Amino acid sequence: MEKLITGHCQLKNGKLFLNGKSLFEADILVDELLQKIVIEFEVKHPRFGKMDRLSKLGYTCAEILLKALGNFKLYQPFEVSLIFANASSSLDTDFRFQKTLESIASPALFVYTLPNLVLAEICIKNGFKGENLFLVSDLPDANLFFEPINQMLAQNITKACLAGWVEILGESYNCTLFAVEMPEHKSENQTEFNITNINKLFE
Amino acid sequence: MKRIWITGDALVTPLGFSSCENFASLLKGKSGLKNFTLPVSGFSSWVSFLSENQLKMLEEMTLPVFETRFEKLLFLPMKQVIEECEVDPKSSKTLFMFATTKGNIELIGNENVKTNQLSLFESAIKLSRYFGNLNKPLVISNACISGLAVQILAMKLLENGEYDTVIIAGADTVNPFILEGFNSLLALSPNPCRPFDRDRQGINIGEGGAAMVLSTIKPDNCRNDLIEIKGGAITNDANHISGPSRTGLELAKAAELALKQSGLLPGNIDFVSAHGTATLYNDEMEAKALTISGLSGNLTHSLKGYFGHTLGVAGLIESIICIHSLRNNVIIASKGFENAGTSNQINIITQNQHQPVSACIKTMAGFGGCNAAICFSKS
Repeated sequence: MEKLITGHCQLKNGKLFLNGKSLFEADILVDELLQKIVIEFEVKHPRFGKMDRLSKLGYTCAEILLKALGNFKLYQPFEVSLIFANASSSLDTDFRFQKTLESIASPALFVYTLPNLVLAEICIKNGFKGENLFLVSDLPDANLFFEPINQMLAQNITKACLAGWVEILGESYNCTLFAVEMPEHKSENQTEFNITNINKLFE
Repeated sequence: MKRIWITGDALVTPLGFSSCENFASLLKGKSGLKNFTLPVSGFSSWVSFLSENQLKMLEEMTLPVFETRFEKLLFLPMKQVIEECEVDPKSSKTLFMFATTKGNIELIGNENVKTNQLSLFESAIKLSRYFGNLNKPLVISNACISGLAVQILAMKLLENGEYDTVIIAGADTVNPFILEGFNSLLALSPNPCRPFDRDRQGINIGEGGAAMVLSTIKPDNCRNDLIEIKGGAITNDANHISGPSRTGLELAKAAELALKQSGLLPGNIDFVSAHGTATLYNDEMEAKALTISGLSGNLTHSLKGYFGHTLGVAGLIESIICIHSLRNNVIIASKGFENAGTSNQINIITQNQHQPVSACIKTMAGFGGCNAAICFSKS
């Protein structure tokens, strides 16, 4: 079956897009922006307030994308794999944790000084138990994802992948996520899974 | 599946400045752990860190351009594998990959340090360019499974033939950020760690650097037995951000998938190199996972009593020890174990065992609920 990009979601420069359609726009600071989006699109999580900013960003976009992709609920736990990447790893939280060392080190912050915690938050919420990879590079680039996803899907254990770039450092942020599946029929909005089409998402 | 050979390996840790030195230290039962009082909280734990003398040696053996402990711990093992192995670092078919959790985090908090000096990718580029490689390096930062995840991703990237060789390097260092962080989680042991023991009290942190060469080209005139990386898998618990699975089912699934991909059965596995961090919950979960996987009777060790927990590089360091066990036909004893302390009984090895060794499995688990397993075997 053909591998297709079955959906994508982006939050960048105060604009939220789902499958290329603008959903929300506000010229405000990122923390406030995430708060507004969470309320507007009913992104629920009992521990949302405790997450670090990287997890909040990735989790919010993932939830909005997954809601639009009903199919992800139908996969078995080990059939869904995640591969994310960014430039700053967990540095945004590292700086915050470092500050607490001057008084009492915060265990709640220390836990988030690893970038793959955003994958954990998405997996816990959705029960995804497949592969998890977090890469660090300079810029979003299809080559980070293309061959690893091809290989994941070729091994016949993974049936669907959630992938993308989730970066935040201070007020600079970009979350661009996409889903790759092998559906029986190609429907509207779905595009072939290839380098050109992935790179279009990062534009 | 392509066959992948391990054509080079190097280790720099408090137990030695080469893989052979490290392996010899383990055979003698030496540990890198030393009593250490944390600078901020004042907590007293045991930590495996480079001595003043070793730091001086490391300084002399590295170039001044690699200023930080982290970059030096990457550079030296990389230089060793590149000099000692038939590998062309400049080839467009050679890819450089890196594994670390925190990179240059030792620099954080220093006013003169710029953000890009803390970037994992900047360090990776600096090292790959020094060795003349023009491909974009890949950095994996997947918590404590990074050292296995990097090998599993390397296997995927070697599969389609775009690259025929991957040079993997990894390092993590001991620094106040890490020590105080683990202490804030109440995860540090006040004593030398005791993986899988009844009286285990938590982890000891360690530091080190490692490099490994994976190649789809079979080396022709090799002095040692050829070792292959046969299969590997990653899973997630989807249970808790920092605590491990209650059932061990997900690590067991990773082990099951790694065995299946390797064409091996639990009965073919001569030993299990477990994660064994010596926290109450990790070791309990791992014993459950090994039981589910049918590996509870296989000889099992944790190497944390020698190296401490070296975080993102632990998977590489412990894999390299596995490879030397296969070559030397000896299984290293698990240090610090006396009395069984997990609800599922597993077979912890307390004396070095000299016996034919043809295959083994290395398991790991990390924050974020991630699990990984890899199988190595003689060709």
